[in-house]
Amino acid sequence: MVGSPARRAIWAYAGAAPFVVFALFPFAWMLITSVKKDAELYDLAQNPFLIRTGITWDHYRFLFEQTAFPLWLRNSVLVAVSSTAASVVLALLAAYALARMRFRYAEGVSTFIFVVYLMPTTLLFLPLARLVSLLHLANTLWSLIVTYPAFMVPFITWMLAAYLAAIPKDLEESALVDGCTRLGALRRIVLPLARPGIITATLFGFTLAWSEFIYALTFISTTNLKTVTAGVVVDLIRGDVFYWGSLMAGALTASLPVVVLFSLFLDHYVSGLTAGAVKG
Amino acid sequence: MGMTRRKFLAATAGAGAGLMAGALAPSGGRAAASGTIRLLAHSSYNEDSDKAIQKIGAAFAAKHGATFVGEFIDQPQVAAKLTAEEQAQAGHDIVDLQDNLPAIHREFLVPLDDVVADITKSFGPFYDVAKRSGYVGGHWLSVPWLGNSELGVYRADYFAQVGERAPQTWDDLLRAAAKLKRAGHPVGIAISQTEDSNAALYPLLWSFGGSVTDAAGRLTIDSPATGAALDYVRKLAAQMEPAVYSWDDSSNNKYMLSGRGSYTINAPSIYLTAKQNHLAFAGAVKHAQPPAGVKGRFFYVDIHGWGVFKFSQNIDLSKQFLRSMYTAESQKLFLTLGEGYDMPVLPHFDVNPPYAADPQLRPQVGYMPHAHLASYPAAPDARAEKAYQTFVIPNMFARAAQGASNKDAIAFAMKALKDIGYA
Amino acid sequence: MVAWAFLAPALLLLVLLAVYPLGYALYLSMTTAQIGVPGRFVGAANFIRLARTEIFSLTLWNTVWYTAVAVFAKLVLGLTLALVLAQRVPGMKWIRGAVLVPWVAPIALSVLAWTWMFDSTYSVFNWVLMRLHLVAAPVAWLGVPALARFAVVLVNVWAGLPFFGITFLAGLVTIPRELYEAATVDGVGALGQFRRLTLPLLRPVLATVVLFSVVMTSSDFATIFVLTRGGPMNTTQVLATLAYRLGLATGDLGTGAAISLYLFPILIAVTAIQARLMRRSWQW
Repeated sequence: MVGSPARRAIWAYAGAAPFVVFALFPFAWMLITSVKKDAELYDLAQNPFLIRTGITWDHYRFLFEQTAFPLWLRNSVLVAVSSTAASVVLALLAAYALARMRFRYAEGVSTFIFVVYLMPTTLLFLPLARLVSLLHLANTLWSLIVTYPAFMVPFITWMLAAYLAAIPKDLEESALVDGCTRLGALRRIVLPLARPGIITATLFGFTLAWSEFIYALTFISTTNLKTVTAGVVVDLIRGDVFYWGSLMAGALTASLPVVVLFSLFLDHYVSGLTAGAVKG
Repeated sequence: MGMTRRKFLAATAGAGAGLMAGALAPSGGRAAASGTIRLLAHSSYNEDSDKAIQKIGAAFAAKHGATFVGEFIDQPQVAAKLTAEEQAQAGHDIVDLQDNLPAIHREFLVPLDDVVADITKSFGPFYDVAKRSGYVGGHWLSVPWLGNSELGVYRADYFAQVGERAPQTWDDLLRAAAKLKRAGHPVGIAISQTEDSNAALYPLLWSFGGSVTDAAGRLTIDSPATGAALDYVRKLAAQMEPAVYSWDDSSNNKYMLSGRGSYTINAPSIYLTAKQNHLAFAGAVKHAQPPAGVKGRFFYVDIHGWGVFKFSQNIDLSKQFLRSMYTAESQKLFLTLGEGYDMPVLPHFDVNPPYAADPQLRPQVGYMPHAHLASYPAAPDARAEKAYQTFVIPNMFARAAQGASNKDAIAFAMKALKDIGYA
Repeated sequence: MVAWAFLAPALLLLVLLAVYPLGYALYLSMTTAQIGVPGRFVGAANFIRLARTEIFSLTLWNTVWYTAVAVFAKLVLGLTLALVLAQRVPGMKWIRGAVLVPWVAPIALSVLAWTWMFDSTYSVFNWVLMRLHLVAAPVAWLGVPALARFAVVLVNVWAGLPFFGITFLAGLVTIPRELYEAATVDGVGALGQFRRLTLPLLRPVLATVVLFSVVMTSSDFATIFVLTRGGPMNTTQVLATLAYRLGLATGDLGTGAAISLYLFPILIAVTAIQARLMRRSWQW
């Protein structure tokens, strides 16, 4: 779109506005609910968007003091970071091979890797529970760190393969001709160019680990070792009574670190490259 | 920007290493060779009920030089965990088994006849309905622990406004419902895919003389009694808001707590929440027994009991612990802290339970002898659980109430039940 | 054979962690296994029997419909979002962060917020609609089949859109600027550039994301389980939730596995085709 920068900006903001509203309004509601008093929350006469009877921090206090929420956060961070790091390394190597090397059975391997991903975790958790127990990992964070790559590696491999494939082949070819090893070519030539894709794939993989529920619920029993998703759902829902204020507080607080992470990393690389790449 | 990010990573890496050492230590929860009892239970509406169990556990642990660890999770997740642990042949020692679960998990449960014999020697037999759930294939596979009721919960002030009192029969309710709808405070009973709906509609069906099966498990849903029940619900639904077709378990709570609803069928959680949150109208929230139909008054109950997994390393210790749950002190502690949400399953403790001091909770006294499980009149089994989990009865009523003829609604239920494995 | 060296670590992990569970799950689906009872091998009998039941046929149809509509919506909206996000204007950094939040929040928790927003008594939508006098009575969002289906698709799109948007964006930015400049010089307009330059070059990323989303959406559990529990009258029941109700919760492992894996053969076929197409398109 050609035009003055101001006009372009207006179009950009106008286009972004509906998406931002759509994305954020549930969180606005969650935020308001997390500081609203219970009596006002249940009062039908009150405006759901406002707080009339004063802000209360009770729900956050309950979350941080009466449940093991800080520990759950810690556990989620440990599990997500470890499993993502391991998965990305494995996936990067595999994706490079699949996307940039010619060899027999390449399609078969691609299909196999992805077929693993096709298995629903709501079914897989049963035989995995047995595996976890056999490895004596039951009720430890290792059970998750070890099993999460099973669905993260296929996901990240395929995402990376798509990004890696987009880089022109001749760049490596000349390096290889000059005597560089494949691994060296990967490190020095392909990686820098594929950075946006790698960052994207890593962050999305991280989110998969962060939000995962069924394995976290099944493999871990000790309250202090639960991850954030399992802990919040389990401690704040009791039969037909939901601790709405604390649930929303938990949901927000559990999302915050990941949003910060995304903002720090994703944006730098993506924005740096949009400077040059796409015509506005 | 780059420096900041690098510093940030370095700092977190350092902190992370320290944290990791702690959390990843292999101590975890591998059951100690002896001396640790791990218990899995559903988290009660009332947190104090769970605390009571923790207290009993702690006392037992202190006395026997053992360790007690209790895990309390939401009911739908208990089923998932039970199955996973059976696959893994490792996990908890004592598990919470509701209604049909002892029958379903029978292959993995230790017979507890000796424990039950000791309990009944001291306190007399369990209620029949409790035994119905826990006694499977000639053995006690689950020691019944509590029952959850479904009472009529109503706003005495709204009913008084329209000149009505607590409905004693379904006809009373229908008559009042019309008046209450005009007054802007309709009644609300879930006709949707949620447990509350099962809990309200099964006893309604029974009170009209209908049932899913006979005592032998053969289908009896296709009957004039079912037709009468469908006709009734059609009329009642016309006096309720269409929202009832979408309710989940917390919806009727919200309906009443918002001040809008005038009547629903629920466990005591609505009344207790109103009281605890000091809602303005808390004094007007009252309980009545579920309404009676032409064939009498039928009560629905959910029974929870304790089973012991065969793969447990601490079967004897677990049995001892179970015995300690059924002393007079333990029962008193549990029933007091429970505040009336859970009912005892031993008549001995139902004579004057702590919560009977509250007149609104007294309808629960004398509830158990007349109560039935969802599988009534047949024994609990996997098919009853499937019918329950796929909400065949609520869906049958939902169809009828939204335009289907009795014939079509019953045909739907018949097909669904046959698909499940009934004949 | 360097390629195999690169692949070995990943393959080793997957073989160790996935082949046994995979094999076991497939085997289960072809037996009459119940909890504690291994059952008999019955081949495709479970699958055939399920197809003859009312609840399963409805569920299968729901799953296909739900997946198709949600993925299509995410695709179209995701592309649009990516184009918007690619604009270099001040503050776009914050906008990108903002639109990411639904994906990043754990779905099991954010769906709870949506249940309240659709709740028959307290829905904020109803509150707004009634205040604006657009409706006379509260809308039963989750009580009318058509609206309930709309609601679950909406929540799924809300949560999944950032994945599409950001992934497409990352794909967009790797397209060299010179290609667009050359096209402009050749007289190709913006729409033409999009159709003939952007779309074809994005194809590998598009295909990957769509395939992932098809897999994730068709096996979605939390959204339906929490929001509608499959209702009203099983009109939002999907394979994953039905597998829980008829399988896991009742000890019928064979049936549960068969329900969970019903789409498996189709998904494998689609994956294999995609693998072939992608390999071809990767030879620049």
